[in-house]
Amino acid sequence: MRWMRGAALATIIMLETAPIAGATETYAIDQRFGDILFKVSHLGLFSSEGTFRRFTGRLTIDEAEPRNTRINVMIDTDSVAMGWAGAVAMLRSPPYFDVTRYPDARFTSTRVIPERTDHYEIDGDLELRGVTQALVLHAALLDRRPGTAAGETIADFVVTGVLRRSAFGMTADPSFISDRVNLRIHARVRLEAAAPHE
Amino acid sequence: MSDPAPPGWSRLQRRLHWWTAGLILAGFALAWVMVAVPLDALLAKFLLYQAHKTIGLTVLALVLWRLLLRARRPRPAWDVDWPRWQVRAAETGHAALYVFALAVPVLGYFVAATAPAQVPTLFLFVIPVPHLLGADESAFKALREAHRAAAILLVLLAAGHAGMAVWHHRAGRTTLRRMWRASASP
Repeated sequence: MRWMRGAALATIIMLETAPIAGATETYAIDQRFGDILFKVSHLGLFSSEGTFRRFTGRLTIDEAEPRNTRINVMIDTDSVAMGWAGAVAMLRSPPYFDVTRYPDARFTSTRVIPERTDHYEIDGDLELRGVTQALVLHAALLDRRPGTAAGETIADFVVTGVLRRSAFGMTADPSFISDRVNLRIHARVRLEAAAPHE
Repeated sequence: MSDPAPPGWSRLQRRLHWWTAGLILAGFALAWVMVAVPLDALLAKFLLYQAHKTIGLTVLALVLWRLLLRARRPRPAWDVDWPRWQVRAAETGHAALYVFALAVPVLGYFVAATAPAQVPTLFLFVIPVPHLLGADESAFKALREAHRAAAILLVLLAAGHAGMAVWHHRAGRTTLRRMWRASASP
């Protein structure tokens, strides 16, 4: 879900640099910086948090039309991780991520909407356990600074969203594990900002 | 101690003794059940663990209370016909019971505190008990083994203690009776 970082930065760049008509840039989303966290509540008393260690993504910026910014992220469900080994085996099992049958989860953005300064809404579809559902994410720019390379910009985003796991057929243990899952994604975008492109 | 030895255990001491014994056995039995409950019954597993933790913390409090009572009031006199070595052995056994009855819950608390799963400790299922240590997998594994070994030793000690009490009882002594009732003349 590095996707959102990309989306947000892309939007900024588009808004703040001179767009070149018809130019699009595609960036590979780098998973080295950032993480995808999901959090569930137990009885309202405490919560558990897990992450996905492996994911890949692409960010496509249409400089002429920021709303056409595209973010595609593919998550390797087998890379699900939690502090507790027993929970990892459980999360990989058929009642949860069912990683043997569904090794990938995908997010595909449908549109990116600037909300207010440094805040963006990312609408898209999440495919998880073979079920596709709409998902709305909110990206906030935390920091933006020049990178080491000339013209490079690095931006850090935090992206949040909420989904109901039951919508994806993940209905196990509803008495103990909340249906509501909070997503929190930390993402870094590194773009060669405003590089001329034909 | 300068106080004369009282004729028997106080009512509070007797009650605390049996509550401690019952709770230790219940906590021990519960431990094997809660560990065996599969992860697809998470709520049951969670509740069993919280019951186990509640029992452990209660045992810890009761044992501290008993030690306080012992410090304030001497124990009843040993039977006069006991050889000295037997009194020594009994005293050592009782001291070990106290040490393990304290150590097992304390170790258990640290097992819970260092567990990677980071499940809170809720006394009586609702009162959060702060964890003084954070998750630490290697400490957790070592503590869990120590907790388990100490618990098994505690139950073996308690079984030996009960066996000795029954043995003395069958020999016609008041050892068991005076822990059960106030007046325990032979």
